[in-house]
Amino acid sequence: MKFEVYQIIVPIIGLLVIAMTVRQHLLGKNTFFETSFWIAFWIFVSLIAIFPDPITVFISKTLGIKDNINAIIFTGLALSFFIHFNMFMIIKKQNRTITELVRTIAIQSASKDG
Amino acid sequence: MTRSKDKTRVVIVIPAYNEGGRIGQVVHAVRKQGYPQIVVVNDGSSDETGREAREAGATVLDHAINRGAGAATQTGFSYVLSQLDFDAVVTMDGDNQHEPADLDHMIEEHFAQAADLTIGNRFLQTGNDIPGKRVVFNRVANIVTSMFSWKSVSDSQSGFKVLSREALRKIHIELDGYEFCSEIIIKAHKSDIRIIDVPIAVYYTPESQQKGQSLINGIRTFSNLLQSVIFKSRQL
Repeated sequence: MKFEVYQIIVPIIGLLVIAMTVRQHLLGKNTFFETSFWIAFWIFVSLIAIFPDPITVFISKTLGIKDNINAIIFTGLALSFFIHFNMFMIIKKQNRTITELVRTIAIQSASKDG
Repeated sequence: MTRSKDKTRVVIVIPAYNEGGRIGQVVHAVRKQGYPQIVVVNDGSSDETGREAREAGATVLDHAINRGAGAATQTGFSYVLSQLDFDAVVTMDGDNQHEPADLDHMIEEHFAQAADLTIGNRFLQTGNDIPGKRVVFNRVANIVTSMFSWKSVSDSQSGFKVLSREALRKIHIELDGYEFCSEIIIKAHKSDIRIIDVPIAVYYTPESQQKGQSLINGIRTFSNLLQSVIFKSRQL
C-alpha cells in the first residue's frame, strides 16, 4: 500500500491534537464530553486520511448519497453545523454568567453602600 | 395583597447607559412628582451618568460593564425584590423621553383596574410626534411580539411600564438587549396576569433616537425571541 504525504501528515496532526486534548482534560480544562468528542473527531479524520476510499464509500452507501465526495462534504457540513451550534450554546451560557455576575456585584455594592 | 397608591411605596427603576446631562434631570423631575424611591441602574456608562444620578438623589446600581437595557432592568428588579418594600415598580427611560407627569395617571389606572402590568402606550395618546421610522419599527415589533404571545399588542417597545409585586415575581428578564420589552409582555401574557394599556406622552430628541428600536434591533429581537422559544421553551 502506497501512502501519499497527506496520509502521513494528517494522522500525525490528529495524534498531537488528541494528546493535547487529553492533557487539557487531565488539567481540568475540558469536560469529559468535549474530550471524547474531539478524540472521536480526530480519529475519524485520521482514518479517512489513511483509508480514504473504503470510508468515504461506506459513508456514501450508509447515507444513500451516490457520490462519495458529496457524502464527505455533507458529513463535513453537518459536523461544522454541530460545532457552530455547540459554540453558540457556550457563548450564550457565558453571556448569561457574565450578566449574572455583573448584576450580583452591582446589587452587593449598593447594599453595602446603603 | 396590599395595593395602595402611596407614592413612597412605588419604586421607579431607570436603566441608563451614557445618559450624562439627562439622567439628573429625569431623577429630579420624578422626585418633583413625589416619588422618593428611584433606582438608577448605571449600565457600564463611560460618562457621568452614575455621579449625576447619585447627586440627584437616586440609589445607583453600577454595572461594571455594559450588559444592555434588559440586563440593567432586571438588575433593578432583583434589587427591588430583595432589598425594598414596595407595592409597584415603574420602569422609565433615562433620556427624558417620558413625561414624569404621566406617573400619577399610570399608577392611578394601575391600581384602579387592579392590573399587574400597565403599559404606557405611546400610540393611544394623540399629539405624540413619533418619527415615521420609529412607527414602522414598532409596528413590526408589535407583530413579532403578538406572534409570540398569541395576543394583540399595540405598543410592545414602550419602556414606560408599571409592574405589580406579583408581575415582578413571575417575570424574570433573560434577554439582555432591547428585546426585553417584548419578553416582558410575552411572559406576562403567558403568566395570565392582568395587562392594561394607558396612553402616555413621549418626546423624541436626537439622543433618544440614536437608541431604542432600529432595523438591526428588530432583527435581533426576532432572532433572540425565536432562540428563546427553540432552546428555552419552558421560560418563554
